Amino acid sequence: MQQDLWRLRQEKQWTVNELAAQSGVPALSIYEYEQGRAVRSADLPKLAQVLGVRPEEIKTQSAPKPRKARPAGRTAARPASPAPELQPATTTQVQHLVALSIRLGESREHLEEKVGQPLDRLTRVEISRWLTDYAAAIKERKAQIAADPAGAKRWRAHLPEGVDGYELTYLTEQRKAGHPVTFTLFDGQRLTGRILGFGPYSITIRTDSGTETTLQKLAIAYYAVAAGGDEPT
Amino acid sequence: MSLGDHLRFLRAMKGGVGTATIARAIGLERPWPINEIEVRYRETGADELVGRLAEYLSRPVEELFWHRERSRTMLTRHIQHALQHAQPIVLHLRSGETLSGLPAWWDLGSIGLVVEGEAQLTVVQRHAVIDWG
Repeated sequence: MQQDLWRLRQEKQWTVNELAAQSGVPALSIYEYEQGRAVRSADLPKLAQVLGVRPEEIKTQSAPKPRKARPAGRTAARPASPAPELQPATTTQVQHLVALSIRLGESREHLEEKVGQPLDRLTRVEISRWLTDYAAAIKERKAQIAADPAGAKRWRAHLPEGVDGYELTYLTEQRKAGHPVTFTLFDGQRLTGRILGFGPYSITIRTDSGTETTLQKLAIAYYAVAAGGDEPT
Repeated sequence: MSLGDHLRFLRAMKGGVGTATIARAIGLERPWPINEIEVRYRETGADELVGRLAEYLSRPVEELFWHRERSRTMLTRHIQHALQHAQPIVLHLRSGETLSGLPAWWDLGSIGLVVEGEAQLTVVQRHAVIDWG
């Protein structure tokens, strides 16, 4: 009389892994055979030998092993969690949203003003929508930069002070916008002007008096758009 | 500030003396060990070489060792940690100023910083950062 593979294994009180170890047939194959896949002819004698039966006593296609019934009340005992639209935003979500807004040049206060409430009062679903919007905005900005022939060209200078990715994007944006930028040099001197162009190691500006000046990057400590410089004129 | 950035600053202060000139003056056949210090991002520079450079540049050797411990990689780790945790950083600059704020981005040459009390993003040159916290 033919028997299901899983029943023969259970009679031996073996796990699938133990049968696999005894027979040399991969555990995954045994699992699939027990779920109803036809046993390969090469595996049948190996399994029969360790199970102490003849090959023809094993069903080549077992009836799927019945699953164990779940203990009653298990689901009910688990504490009910609120629906996702009611769960508060996680700290990671809030941090991620703040990081994205900063990349777009917005402070947390500005972001909360847009959202209309403190970020930690948002639900998971609400903050997910904001995250999606901000991710899309960053992607769009990158595409705009890449579409600009000057911005699309990225070079990495050999020396460490050379213009790299983010700074290239920033300088390209400011050059296009024509905002006056204030440069603070190592010696404390400040120069304000509109960016005419830049290379890996220098930035050329035109001051309000019309003078063109090329600043060596090594001489610059930091720079920013001049106060009120981004307002339309 | 890394030892490499500090060396280039000292070279500029010494009239823009080249690394090949320094190499000859301190008894090196080729300038590449000095060039390596200047372009590498991790901590680099053997004690003996740093000692010879300090003597040539008339600086205390401890000053150069101090900079050697503040590699560009260490600054990157500090900024990246602050970026991930949305924490403010404090940057002490060669110009004598101290800037603090949230990092918005960093790349190999500069740091985008949302400085406290400033509406516009400030782009700080990494080679200007003496120390950080």
